[in-house]
Amino acid sequence: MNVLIADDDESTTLTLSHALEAFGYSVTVAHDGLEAIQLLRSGRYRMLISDWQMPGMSGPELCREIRQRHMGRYIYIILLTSFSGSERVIEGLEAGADDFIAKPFNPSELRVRVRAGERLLGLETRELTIFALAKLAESRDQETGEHLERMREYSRVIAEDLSRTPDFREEIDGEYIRLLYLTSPLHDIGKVAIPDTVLLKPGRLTAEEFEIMKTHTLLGAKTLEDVAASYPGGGFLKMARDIALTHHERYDGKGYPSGISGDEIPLAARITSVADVYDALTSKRVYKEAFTHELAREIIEDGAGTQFDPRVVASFVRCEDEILAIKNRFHDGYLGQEPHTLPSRSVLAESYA
Amino acid sequence: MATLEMTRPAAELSGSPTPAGTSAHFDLPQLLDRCLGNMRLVDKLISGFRRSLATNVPALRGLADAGDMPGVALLAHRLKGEAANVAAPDVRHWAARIEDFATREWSDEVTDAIGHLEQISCDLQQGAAGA
Repeated sequence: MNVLIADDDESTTLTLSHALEAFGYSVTVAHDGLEAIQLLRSGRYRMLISDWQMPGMSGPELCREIRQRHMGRYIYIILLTSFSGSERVIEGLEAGADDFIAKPFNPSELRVRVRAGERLLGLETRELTIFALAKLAESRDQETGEHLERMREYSRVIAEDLSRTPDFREEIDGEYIRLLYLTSPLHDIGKVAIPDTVLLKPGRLTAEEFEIMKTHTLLGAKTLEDVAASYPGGGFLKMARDIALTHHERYDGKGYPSGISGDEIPLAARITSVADVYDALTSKRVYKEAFTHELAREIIEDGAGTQFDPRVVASFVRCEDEILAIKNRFHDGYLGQEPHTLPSRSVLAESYA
Repeated sequence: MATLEMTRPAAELSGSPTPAGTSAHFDLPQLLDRCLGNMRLVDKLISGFRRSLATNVPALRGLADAGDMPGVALLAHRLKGEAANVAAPDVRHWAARIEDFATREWSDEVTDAIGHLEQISCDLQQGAAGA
């Protein structure tokens, strides 16, 4: 495991690095909080051991910064401190630290506390399992490539942007974004119950076939509800259930399965819907080429207020550069092309909803 | 649940902080334990600590002379941590006192305690020169 140390005292970083490397960990040193944040964004580090007092950004401030952002996967934070008193413990825990080590550190204590952190991080395998299940559900559809990877990143970026707006800053925090990232890939899990003749049909679906396809929302939600009910600590699946059930609802109430509208649609589903449609538009399918980003953006913007929440669309547009970067990072090898014939944009958006 | 061992033995803050049977200013068994037996690392840390004292003790004096007690407290806190890490208990002892006195804005006591630190630093620099 890669461990990041944040400390401006060279003697501490030397002794800590030496001990951790002797215990089998790979170690990188940051000399202040800002450097630590930059390194953590790479996604390479699962554990941070930070000094309490550092120039510029203290250990607790660094903790808060990490918890407010979403760094991909959970980062286990141990604070090094020579301060005394329970007040400091409370301050550190409230800031988001997971554990403490007193300075000067004892190597044996360091070892067991880092191992305890590793055990906790191991629990994240459940998240990997969830993603694996989502990939399995998607695997029958041979053209989705890295669809799930892209759409959860799109969802994350949009949610992070919305968290900075007055309408959503109360509702969207770091935990919300983390859950959205974790559960949005499950949006189509109900498709496992859709027959191949419908799911894999290359052409347009008949009305009857479309009715069958629509049931994937109800089936997925039911499955997730049943799992949440029988699994202790499965509360996080509530968001997954909401997304699975409502990601095909429309802002104007003309969606399915229930025809709910506006803010009745869970925010997570409103966000996932934009992410999912954008990815479908910009991906190659057996029945179409991948649209360019510009065309897909225009289609989504046209859907603001009808198919999509206009605030979510506005966020999508603000995050355009980042979304393009994600699209390029997880590309399936296709370049976007303009289609030779162009149905109306509303039809296009609905087709890929 | 995380716990902190925050209570230090009273003897550590007495007039004789250096445990018997150790080198004059370092608790070598403790330092060696922290370095997992790596003597090269021990040597490197002691050399680095000497250099740090050579810089930071005069800096403490300068801050104290300028009446910057918060600055003194901050630097003393850093020095205390560094001294603890390299198992230099008397430096840690006086750095802790300086931090405490500076926090209370007892400038005379700060000045006196810095004097002790200057003596220790002088000892260590002479010890390095004679090695």
